[in-house]
Amino acid sequence: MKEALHHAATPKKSIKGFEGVLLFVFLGLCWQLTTTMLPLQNAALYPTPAVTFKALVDSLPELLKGTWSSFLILIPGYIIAVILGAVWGIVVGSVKWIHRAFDPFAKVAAPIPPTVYIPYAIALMPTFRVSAILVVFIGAFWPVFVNAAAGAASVPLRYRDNAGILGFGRFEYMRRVVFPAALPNIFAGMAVALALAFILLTVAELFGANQGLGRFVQYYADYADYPRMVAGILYTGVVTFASMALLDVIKRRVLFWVR
Amino acid sequence: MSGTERPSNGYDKKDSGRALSVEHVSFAYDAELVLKDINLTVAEGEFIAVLGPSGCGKTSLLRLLAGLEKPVDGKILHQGNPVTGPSIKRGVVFQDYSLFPWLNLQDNLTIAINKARKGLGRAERNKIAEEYLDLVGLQGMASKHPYEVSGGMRQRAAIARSLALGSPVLLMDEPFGALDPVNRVRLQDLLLQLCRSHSTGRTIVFVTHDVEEALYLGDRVVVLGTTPGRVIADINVPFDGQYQRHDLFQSKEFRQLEEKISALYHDDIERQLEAGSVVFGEGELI
Repeated sequence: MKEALHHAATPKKSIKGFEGVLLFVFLGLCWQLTTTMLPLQNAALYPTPAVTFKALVDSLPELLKGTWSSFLILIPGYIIAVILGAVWGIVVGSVKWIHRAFDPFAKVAAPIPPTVYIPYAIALMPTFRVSAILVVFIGAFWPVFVNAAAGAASVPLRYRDNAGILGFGRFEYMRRVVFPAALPNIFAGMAVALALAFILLTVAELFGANQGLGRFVQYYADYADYPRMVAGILYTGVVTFASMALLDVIKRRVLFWVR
Repeated sequence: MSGTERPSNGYDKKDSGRALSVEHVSFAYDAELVLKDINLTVAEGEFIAVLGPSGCGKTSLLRLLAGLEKPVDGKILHQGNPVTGPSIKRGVVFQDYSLFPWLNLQDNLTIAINKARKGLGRAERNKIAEEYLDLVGLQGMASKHPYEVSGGMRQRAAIARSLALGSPVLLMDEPFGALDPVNRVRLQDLLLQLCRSHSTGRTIVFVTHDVEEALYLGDRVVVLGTTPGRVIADINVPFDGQYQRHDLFQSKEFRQLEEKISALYHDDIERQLEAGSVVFGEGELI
């Protein structure tokens, strides 16, 4: 009796650990069945998995080129945002008068949806790439800054005590104590910032790019080539997922001491 | 220990400088008075145990001595100079958080060595760090991180860091309080051994709530009463370190001192009851 209950509550051993994979298989089956079995009015809008896959393989060179072009915007914007956001966040979080001076501005500026800067950035900057980098930078800066400042402001008392006992000066305290103590917060901000950076990148590319991931999707949508468009969406999803996974690996390495 | 003896009995306080003096110090958290009119002098090279029940403000007293807190009244002097903030002249070992978790044991020590002796190369600093780790029985553990080692090992490393810092005064806040009994005994003996052999003239203030520990380690035991924390006794410990641990705990003098301290606590509680202050919650009174 007891055993029977146990079996009902948890999946069989052979499935355990693969539930996530099973969901993908299930969704793929649904896709296959809905596109082949249902009498669809507008079949061109719903390409079958096979057609989409062929479109993906065919446009892979174009997608890879687009990825490169997108990363030339994403990486500089994101990295500058992470460095400046972390450094400035630590300063604002640990120096009281700078906090009093900057915090009101941050409270007003941080919640502005960064997408609204896109048209102005494009008008203002000499090239599309520079304006897109600027928009990605603004969007990614705030999450990193806000988290770094929060982390720096709440450095546990025990670390402060130890820094005092070791006779650390202000700069040494920030570099050797506040920075590592705020790193878990900084990484949390970096994850939010990376997701936001991808959103801003693709939206910016819809506005004015002549290549890139967002541009690819928009271009084939304009030509009603839906297999390629869906392939572009799936591909962008994979690239985003891979980037987030890479950040997670880096985080685990750097924050090995967090238990 | 051969030849060297504890600088305790027969230690002439008049001839030695005062390492620390606490003059009419009171301390409060918000509106609550934690310590009231504390007077205390610690001689150079003395090992003082500050003994008291939890909540008596003994940790606050140690933080005041370290310069991590400021008194609301009175003053604290270190070698005649007012204590205005923390300094590497007064090393501190906390109960369980003296080390930075993101640095390995060696780097936790080299930070201190860097402060104590400027201008050393990296290799030299690492070598000194390893020597101090050897001294506290942590051979070959230099590259381990605090989370990878036991609580006892962390406290050994914390002691090593304080020694590496070269502070003339060492303040210890229940440093063995979180350890199991076996490790506790080992570290008590290690500390005594280090005091006798290594650190001539090092002044130690050791806070504990354990009577045996206070009597075993201290040359002098300062007993604090509660609400607010006050010095209720200042006892010279008449053991020369000629006893082995086990014999010491069996000895008549030791038993008598232990009873005396229990009686002091009892009187302190009586006094509070008479003064009408609530010591126990209503339901706890038998």
